[in-house]
Amino acid sequence: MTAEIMQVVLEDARESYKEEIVHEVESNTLDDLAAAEARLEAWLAAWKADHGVAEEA
Amino acid sequence: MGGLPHCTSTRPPLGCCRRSWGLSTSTLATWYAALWCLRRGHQQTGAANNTPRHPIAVQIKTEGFHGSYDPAFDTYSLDDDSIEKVREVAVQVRPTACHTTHTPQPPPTHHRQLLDFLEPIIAEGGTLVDFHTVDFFPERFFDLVLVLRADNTTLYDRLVGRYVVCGTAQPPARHPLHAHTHPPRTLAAAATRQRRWRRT
Repeated sequence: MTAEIMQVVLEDARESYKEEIVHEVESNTLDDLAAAEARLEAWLAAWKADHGVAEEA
Repeated sequence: MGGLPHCTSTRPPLGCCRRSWGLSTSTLATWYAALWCLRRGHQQTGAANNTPRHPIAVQIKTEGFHGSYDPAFDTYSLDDDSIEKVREVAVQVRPTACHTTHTPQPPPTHHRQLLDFLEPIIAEGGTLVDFHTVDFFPERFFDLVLVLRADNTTLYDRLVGRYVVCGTAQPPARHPLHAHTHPPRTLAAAATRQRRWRRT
């Protein structure tokens, strides 16, 4: 059932967008959520650095 | 289970929030698949606390982007007609043959209306889009795509909790997973149908 629900979405995402921008994130617990958020923040910081965007004050 | 906070909103599972990330040179967007309840959980943690909300869910209702309303799920369908058409196509054409035999079609009206609405918002950048499937959004919309995955037990408990908290009249045991199981399948077929159009 999990595969039914999520794998379709995941495969769709991978088919629809560049492989390198699609990421699967575990999301069962609040710890998972915090980890995903940290990952997103890290990605955002890297993106800003790569694109020359200043950090917010 | 020690899961995430349950949703108390009765809005359909589509939302968009904008963060003041100051990105003007490109679009920065994150797409969360399924488990839209996590969006509310996300709000309760640090990073998203200052996120101005852009209530696309409200816009879908007020602007009439939806095809129909399902009182049993307390949910708006983006376009029911498209799903019926997709079913017909799915029966007639095997998925592997779709790319070569099916003429690319523009997305259904409501999808187009929603995309037209989102276009200027996305163009400004610093935008988070949250939806249960990814099919019909243009590739250029996003710089990052996150697909959230939860164990089935966790998902089920979360969905049951959602229906209980929302006070939905329909007994949750009948359908909570149904709504999160079938739309991706039908919309996945829609993606095959629309993909060529989208990338032109």
